[in-house]
Amino acid sequence: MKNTFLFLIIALFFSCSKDSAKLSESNTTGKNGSLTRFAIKDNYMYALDLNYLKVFDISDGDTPVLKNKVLVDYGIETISIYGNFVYLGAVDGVYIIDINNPQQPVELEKIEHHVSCDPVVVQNNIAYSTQRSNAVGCGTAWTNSVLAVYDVSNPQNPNLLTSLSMGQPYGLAVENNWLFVCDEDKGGVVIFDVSNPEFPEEKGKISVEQPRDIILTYPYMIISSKTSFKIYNYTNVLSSTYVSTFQIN
Amino acid sequence: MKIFFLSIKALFFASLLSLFLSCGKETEYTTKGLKPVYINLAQLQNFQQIGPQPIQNSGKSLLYQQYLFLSENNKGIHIIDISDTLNPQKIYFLQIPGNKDMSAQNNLLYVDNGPDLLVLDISQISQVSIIKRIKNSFLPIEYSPADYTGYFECANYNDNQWLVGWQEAVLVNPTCKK
Repeated sequence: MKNTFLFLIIALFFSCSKDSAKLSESNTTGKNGSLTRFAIKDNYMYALDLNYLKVFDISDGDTPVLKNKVLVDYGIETISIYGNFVYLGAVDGVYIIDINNPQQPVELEKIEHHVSCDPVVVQNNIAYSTQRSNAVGCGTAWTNSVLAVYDVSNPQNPNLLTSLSMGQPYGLAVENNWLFVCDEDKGGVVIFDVSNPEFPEEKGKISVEQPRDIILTYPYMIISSKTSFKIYNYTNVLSSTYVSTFQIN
Repeated sequence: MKIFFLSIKALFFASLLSLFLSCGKETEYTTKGLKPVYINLAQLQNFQQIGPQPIQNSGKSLLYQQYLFLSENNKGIHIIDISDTLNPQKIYFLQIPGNKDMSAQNNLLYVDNGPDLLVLDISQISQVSIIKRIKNSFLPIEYSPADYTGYFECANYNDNQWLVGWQEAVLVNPTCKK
């Protein structure tokens, strides 16, 4: 009887902790959206500085020390780190930079594309890049905005797998078989099934006005927009459920 | 004959005059457009932690533990407590003029403050403080207004002048356009 009681208590405790909607990233390194120009890996912060990639040693966090600055090119806009490689989204391409030696980044390859604005995310050696083209600062009105998918298993010889037409895409995020892309023209976050990255399949949409970027922290998806943010629960991706937005102060 | 020469002379002067006038017109070409808003070095270093502010021009985001940091382009960073996902709370605004980017590790927030790199201690979120300023770490990147087509006054950065926005203005002979 006593044991049963104890078991019930424990079961109750576990079910409570499971149901409660608390969120706390235990990581001591923050998680950036894809539009960032600063990224941290281990004890180093990689920061874009106009046409350079700068490497700061932050092992003594209070006092970052500039260890290196590597000339890349004008027009670099976003940074994303995957494994020992840095991916830079630039107005005319995606740069792949080797950081196996964290203080000595080496530029390996530049994937050229037409002039546009483009964050990039990587998973399982597949890079996903949105390339937003418009008349007001990113490329031109007469080139298409696209989602481009590259095989980067050989970083020195990346291979374009496919390219899909988009509206006005911004930030994006990938996890397992799902790719989430902010698209202002489509009024939300477009959900792609990328279980076969060569053929991303559009499966649904989460409506958000002027979406800009996404942070995934399972089971929550935080979608930031120009004037707000929204939290969704994506335990069941295709029927992601609205959780909350901020309280108007 | 004299009349002929006179009329030639008059024609010559007239054409000179018209040339002058058209030049004059060119140097006074005015149009509506945008011009940069600058702040000086003292204003740039005016870091403050204040109460929640409206989100107007955001997009970049950072999650650190239970805090969501949202950038407000050129103005600073909103801090939102999302530990209760059902009821997120905008709790503070970090006024960081000229700010565009951020990252975080071990209770430290790294941000750009115009040309400077700041290290902020966020271990006590109600009392965020500057613990390091590394001067002149970054070059300016904003040289034209975003999401805009038309004339604008060209941006000009110097030791005591940093661009933090754009405002409507009547421009005289603008040389920048997009």
